[in-house]
Amino acid sequence: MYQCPNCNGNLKFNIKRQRMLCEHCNSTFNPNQFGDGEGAKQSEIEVTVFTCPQCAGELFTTDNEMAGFCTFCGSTTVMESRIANEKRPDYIIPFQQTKDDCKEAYLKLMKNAFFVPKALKSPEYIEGFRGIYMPYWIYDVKQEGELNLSGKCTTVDEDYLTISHYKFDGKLSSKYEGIAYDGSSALSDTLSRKLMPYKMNSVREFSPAYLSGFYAEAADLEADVYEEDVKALTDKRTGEYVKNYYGFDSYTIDTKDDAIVEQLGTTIAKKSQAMLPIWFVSYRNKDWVAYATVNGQTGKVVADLPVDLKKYLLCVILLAVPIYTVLSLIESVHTITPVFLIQIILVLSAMVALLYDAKVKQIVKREKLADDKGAIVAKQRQENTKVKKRKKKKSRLKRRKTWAIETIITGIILAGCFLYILAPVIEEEVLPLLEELPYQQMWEVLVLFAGALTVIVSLVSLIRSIGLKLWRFLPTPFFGLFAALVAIGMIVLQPVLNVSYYIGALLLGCVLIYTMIDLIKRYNIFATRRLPQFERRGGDGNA
Amino acid sequence: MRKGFLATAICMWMLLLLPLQVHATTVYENENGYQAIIVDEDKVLSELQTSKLTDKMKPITEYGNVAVIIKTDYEYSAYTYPQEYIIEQWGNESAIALAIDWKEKEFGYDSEGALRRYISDDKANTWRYEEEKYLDTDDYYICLAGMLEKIYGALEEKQNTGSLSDIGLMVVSLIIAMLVMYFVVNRSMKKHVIVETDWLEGVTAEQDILDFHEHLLHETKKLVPGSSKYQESVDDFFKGDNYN
Repeated sequence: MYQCPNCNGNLKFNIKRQRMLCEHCNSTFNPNQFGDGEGAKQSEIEVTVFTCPQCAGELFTTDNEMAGFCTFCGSTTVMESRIANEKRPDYIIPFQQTKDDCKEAYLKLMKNAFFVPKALKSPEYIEGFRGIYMPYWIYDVKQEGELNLSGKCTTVDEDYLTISHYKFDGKLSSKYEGIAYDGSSALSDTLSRKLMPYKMNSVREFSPAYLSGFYAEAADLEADVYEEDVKALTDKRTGEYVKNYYGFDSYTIDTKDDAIVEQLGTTIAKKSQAMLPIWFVSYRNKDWVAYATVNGQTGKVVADLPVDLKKYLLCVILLAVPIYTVLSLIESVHTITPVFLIQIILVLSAMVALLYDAKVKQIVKREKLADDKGAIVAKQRQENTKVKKRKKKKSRLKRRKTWAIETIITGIILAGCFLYILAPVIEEEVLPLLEELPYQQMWEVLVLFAGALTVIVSLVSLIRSIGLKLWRFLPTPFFGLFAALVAIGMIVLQPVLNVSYYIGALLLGCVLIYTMIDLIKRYNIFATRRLPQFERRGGDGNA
Repeated sequence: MRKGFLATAICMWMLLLLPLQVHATTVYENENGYQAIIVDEDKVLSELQTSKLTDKMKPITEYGNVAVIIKTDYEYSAYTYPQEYIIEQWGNESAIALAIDWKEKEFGYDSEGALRRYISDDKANTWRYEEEKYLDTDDYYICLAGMLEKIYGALEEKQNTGSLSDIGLMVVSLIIAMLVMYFVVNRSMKKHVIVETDWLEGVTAEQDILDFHEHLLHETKKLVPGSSKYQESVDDFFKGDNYN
């Protein structure tokens, strides 16, 4: 806690004024004029560390008090505290967005997020935003190398096609300053990536006084964890620069990308630690937690957005009414026989199976921490194993294509269904050519394909869940497989009684409804995160 | 009631103006106005058979009009007559008509409206083939009665499973609604989810290539096909020793 030199009142960092402000006499002071705590070495700062007894999440502050809830797991509890010396960071970007700015930005995002649970928009929740300084490693990269490239140029005149082969050389000089990666395994790489960018030109020399009124997280990842990623990032960017260099405008460069990268001579010129500001709040619901973060400098909001199941189901029922009306109207013109009903449901089951499987794969990948290097390192450290060298990943900036593939496949199947339903109705209006198309055969092929797809996807999903011992993912594909086989059996065996088809259709339909509800729950799991459990002092596994 | 008046008016008009001089007997009309009609000019059926047929036609009138015609002087044939009869008698109303040419041993069937939707043509034709054989032994009543029983059986089953069909439609509607809402939710949430930004955004970057040189290694020249020199070279080739 810092005292005002004038009146001994408490000093806290004021965001609007960007200076230390005395709460008593309103005097302001430069944060850099305040020294570190007594007994602290120059490379360290003396702080009070608060530890959550449930998840062992730690935050430190230069103040002596902390509100009684944990930022990381959302539990309301009495935090354990101790005095400690933490490594002194090199730089800091002070908060520039006040708590009111943060709340306003968050509410602006939430205003249009209709399906989000009400609790995430409540004033009590929003009041829980806490200013936290997160540790980031800042890398400066230097690239100097002799470039030797080959290329060609093609010219055409009246009579001759001329291909000229060239060799190019030059000295590459490139530098990047301020590449930031988060140094805490508590903040997932995905989240920290989305909070970017920070304007690094606002960075200042660190002083513990900036922490006054806020909290901070200690870095538990070394700088070398992300060195390969930084090099790969800059190699790619410089490689693009070289290939697009104006001097090569009329040439085609033959040299491969890997060969260009080898010539760049990339080195990490400097590594420093900086504290970057984040407004942070968590919402806990049973065994998952949703984080909402706001970039404390730019006001960019990144939040986990789960779906309120009740709102979803309400909208489903409201939408089902007009759909049912339309289907009934169609049924009055073109009778939907029991066989046709079970065929429709079988086609829909293929779409549902694909969507469910895709979501489960996303969850499995996320739980393997495939895209969170920091968490992997922390976990491996905990397990006392060596960090294996990772292969160079392709660009992390590439958007996930899974959703697009799901949409395309689903769109094709839906289009096929509607084409069959509507075509007989408009047959009289459409050119006679349409009448020659073999609708029945096309439909039967589509149903066969959909049935096979459902069985295969459900089987694969089932085997994967068993193989990975994901017992909670077992019931849905199991029921789906069983119901799909029953439906296919009905279509193949063609029982005499219509009621058999209805029973098969209703069985499969109920399983699909159950699967869709489960899919929303899986969506929520993917949209949020598991309760953290940090391996530090404390933590009783109740998180 | 309205349907009954309309049907009666049409019947009277037909009697006055059309060459279809049939001796039709409306044996039954239910509260919805649907009629059961038997046309038996030549008195092929006995009174008892007519009565029994009427009993079989009555439950079918819950779904639409029913007509049974037995005669020989069809304008074209008993196969095409049911369609004409329905149109002239009831227009687009739900109806079924069975026609027998007892001389030519032909048995025709047609339907319209809801009854056409409930009983597919394939199914009806299958039954017609099965019952038509009774005409060879002059068992006209058995032929008609069998057909009417099968029609009623199908309608009964439709009735019993009608509620199941509605439930099935509801389930399909729910599933489609859930799928649509899932995509809507996904899309809606994606709008608010920040796409990962370029890690180098906001980073100070400077790149330059100094002492840039280009060195020509070699050139390859080819004649452009179609050019004058290309044509010259081709001509030279054919004139020269190589060709000979």
